[in-house]
Amino acid sequence: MILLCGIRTEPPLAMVATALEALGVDFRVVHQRDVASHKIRWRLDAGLVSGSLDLDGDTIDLATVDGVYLRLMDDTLLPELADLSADDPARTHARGFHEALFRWSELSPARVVNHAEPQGSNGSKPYQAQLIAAHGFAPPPTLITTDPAAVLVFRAEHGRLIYKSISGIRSVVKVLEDADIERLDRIGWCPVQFQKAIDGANIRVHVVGDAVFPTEIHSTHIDYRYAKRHGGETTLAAITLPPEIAARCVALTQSLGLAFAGIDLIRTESGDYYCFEVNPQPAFSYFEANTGQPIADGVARYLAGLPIPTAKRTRSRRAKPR
Amino acid sequence: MALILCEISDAAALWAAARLQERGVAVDLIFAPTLGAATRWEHRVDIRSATVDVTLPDGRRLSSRHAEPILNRLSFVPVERLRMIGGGDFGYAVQEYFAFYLSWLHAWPATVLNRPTPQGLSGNYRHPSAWASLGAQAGLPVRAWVQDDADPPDTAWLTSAAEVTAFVVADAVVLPPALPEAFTDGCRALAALAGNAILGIDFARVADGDEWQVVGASPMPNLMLGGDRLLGPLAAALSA
Repeated sequence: MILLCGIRTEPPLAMVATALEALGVDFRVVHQRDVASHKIRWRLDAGLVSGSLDLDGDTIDLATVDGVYLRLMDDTLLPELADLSADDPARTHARGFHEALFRWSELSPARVVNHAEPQGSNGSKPYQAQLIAAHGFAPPPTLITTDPAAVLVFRAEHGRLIYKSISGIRSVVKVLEDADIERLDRIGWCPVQFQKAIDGANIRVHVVGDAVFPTEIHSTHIDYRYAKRHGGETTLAAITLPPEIAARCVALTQSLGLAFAGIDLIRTESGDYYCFEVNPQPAFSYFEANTGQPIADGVARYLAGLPIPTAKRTRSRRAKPR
Repeated sequence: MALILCEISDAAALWAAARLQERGVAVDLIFAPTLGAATRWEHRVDIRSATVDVTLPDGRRLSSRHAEPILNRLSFVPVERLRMIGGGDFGYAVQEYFAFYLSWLHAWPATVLNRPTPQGLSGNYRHPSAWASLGAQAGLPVRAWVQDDADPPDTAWLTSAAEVTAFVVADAVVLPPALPEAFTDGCRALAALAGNAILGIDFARVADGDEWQVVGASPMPNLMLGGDRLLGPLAAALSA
């Protein structure tokens, strides 16, 4: 039995559901918007986890759950609860259910994509960069500082720089232009992260278990995620990585304690690979929709404990908007 | 010289600083607001190394090049300076500072008790159910954990009242006299599983008997409960 936890229509969750159906694997969707009719009770005794989950009368012995895919949204933002006061019993029940489900998933012996604790490294990019470097991938040379003079020295050392958030809060990556130097004294309020701008091909590598799905991205914009917004264009193509780079991606993912990850690389013209980030909650649907790479099938197979076929080179397409 | 990073109100850290100094250990206390008011930060990360250089308002300097051992009692980032930032930017700035502190403390090239984790600046603040799981893995008797959708999530974080606390500092275990010596290896194993150099492990007796069970643990325990027996291991760990 596989549990898919989240919103039934959310693309990654829906695609994994479709893949499980195609594989003939038994699964249930813990649809958050139906939380009012969900119940859970579990127990940890002498290291053994047991309990039951009730989905609108469908009772599941938690010991029979082999895999869990977590795509949970913040339950306090569910539309069904929007007009309710903070102490409304429906809200209290929703919170209690999600907390109990989450705590069970952290200790369940099932294959969980992904456990919460290892996802934490993504909350600090320079912290994660240190973990990445320990596995042989070069992070871009990085400076975090409150000192404008240090930025100028760093710029003299490395040339073109970009700046972006330190934390996991998404920010638009921007190039440090000459005009920005005039307002550089503002960084005294809060340390800012600068990185050497690395020129080359963006590559997103989805790793599922020990399988890799690499996608090369060509964009007219420094941050391909926002190219469309700026009138630019992005093209995605499935590629094959050198075996040692693919193996390093798998090792990095596993060492971080993740079953599924989206690793952002840049391959320079000289063939060097830089690693920017390991995303522990990759919304892979954008990549699968634009390349045909069977990522959802890979996630479904991982959850079910089935072997994942080696990824094949598939097609290249101009990216559809996210 | 050992550095102690702590809040001004951290009585356990102040106690440890005073008692370590009495034992001849040089200690430099750095309060969180002082760190938060640093006049200059420079933190670099690349494939070869990660370094940090901080200048405090009173002129003291913390640098990877002259790194001293740290007793890290920071439970969160200093936010005093951020209070003048309004609206949504405040939350963003707090997240940025947490991410930054996590990185530079991780990069500090000398001993740090405890190293930060994404789940807490002085170590991983685990849910009681996670401590129960790790305690069982470590071979310690553990109180069973039961949870359902009717349990208030906030109170689930409250651990059962502890009667005594055992301490692990590096490889040393300081057991209170009430606990059997047989728990020594289990306590050491629990700290190793948790990834903590310092861990306080709370025990209580079962409701209708004299058997002891783990009821919780903390990476930032009340060091005063360990008394003078804790100071030797602490001094040794901070001189490593």
